[in-house]
Amino acid sequence: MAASSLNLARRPFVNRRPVARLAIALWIIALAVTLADIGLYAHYAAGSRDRRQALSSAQTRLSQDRSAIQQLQKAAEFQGLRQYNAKVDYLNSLITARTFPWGRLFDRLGEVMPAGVRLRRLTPRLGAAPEGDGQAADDKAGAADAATNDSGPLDPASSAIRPVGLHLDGTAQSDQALYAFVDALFQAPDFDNPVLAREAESGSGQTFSMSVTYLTSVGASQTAPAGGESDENEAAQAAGGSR
Amino acid sequence: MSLRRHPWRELWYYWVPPLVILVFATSLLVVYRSEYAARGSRLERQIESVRKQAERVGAQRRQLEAMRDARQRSVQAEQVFYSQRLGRRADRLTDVLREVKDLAGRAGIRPSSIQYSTQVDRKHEVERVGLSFSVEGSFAQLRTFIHLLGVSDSFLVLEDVNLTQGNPAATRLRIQLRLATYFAAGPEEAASVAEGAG
Repeated sequence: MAASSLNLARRPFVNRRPVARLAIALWIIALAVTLADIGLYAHYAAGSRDRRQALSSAQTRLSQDRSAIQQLQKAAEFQGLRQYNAKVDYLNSLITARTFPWGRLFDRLGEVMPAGVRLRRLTPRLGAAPEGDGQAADDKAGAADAATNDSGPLDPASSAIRPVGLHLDGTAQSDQALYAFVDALFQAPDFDNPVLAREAESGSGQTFSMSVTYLTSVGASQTAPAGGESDENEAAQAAGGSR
Repeated sequence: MSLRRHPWRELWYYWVPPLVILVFATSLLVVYRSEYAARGSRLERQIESVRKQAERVGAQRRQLEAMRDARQRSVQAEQVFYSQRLGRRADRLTDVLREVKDLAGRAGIRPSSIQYSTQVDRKHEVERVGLSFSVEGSFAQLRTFIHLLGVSDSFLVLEDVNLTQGNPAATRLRIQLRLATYFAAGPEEAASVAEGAG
């Protein structure tokens, strides 16, 4: 045992290898982590600069748009919009009255009027909302619109169905003829919600008054339209465009 | 002897510097993960939020611009409608009256008398001239007259049709019609009509 502790070397042997190996490993790992740090921070710095630029740009755009909106809201075009729209509605009602298809109305009435019923007075309430059940009128308008579209391509100006209230005065040979007329109006796709206001016996039979909603195409003329009507439709469409 | 026993302690300068650097670099990594990465995400979210806001406001701006353009077109159309379709009463009244009589003549019916009425709508800057007259004729003539009114270039509106002496047996009917035509009524026209009415 004494021989094993005897060291004849000039300097005692030291096993540095484990320390050196660990030191090398530590240097490599530290270098790698440091490089990763440098890369991440550089990436962050560049990304942060880009993001701040993007944020600044978006904020500038937002501010410009807000400023433009404020300017637009002060523009003359947006002043008195309610009065202007009321005026446009009025002008559109004039145009609708001008283009009301009287000829087609006579044709439709002729189709549904049974023998023994004569009309004495016919007054459309142009520009005014029709009386009665608006939902039912809307439903029939949709159905009439679909039926019209099935028949083929149409002028877009004539494809909009608009309900117009009609006031009818007339005479019927008998009350049965009058009721047949009312039933026919209920059945007809172009009419809706007939409301009998009065019937009275007279020497020649029954006189009556009623209102009914006529589902007509706005802007469609009964025959070949004149150039003027096209202008009116254009004006109506353009006038309606500011909503 | 001590070196042989404690080489780690004696050779500390081998491994302590890389260890210190490693600890420092790792702490930097942890700080980056916990702070800077979160900061970047926050910035991303902020950018996204501002972008969405900018898109919304931009859409609002485009909508307002479209509305402004539509209003400008509408005002132009309105001016054209007033000046060309309606026109001034002084310029068009007698032409319209002549045309109504001409159309009635072409349909084979001729009004013996016409009642006129004038109303000024200052709010809408429109003047309405109503024409009421009775004619005798057949239903076919009435249809022809209504058709001619419809295709006329004048701004004529048929407001009411009344068969005042309708007789189921008769072929000729007495028909009362109410027509209206409209003129542009600017402030000057409205004042002159009001004076005339007064």
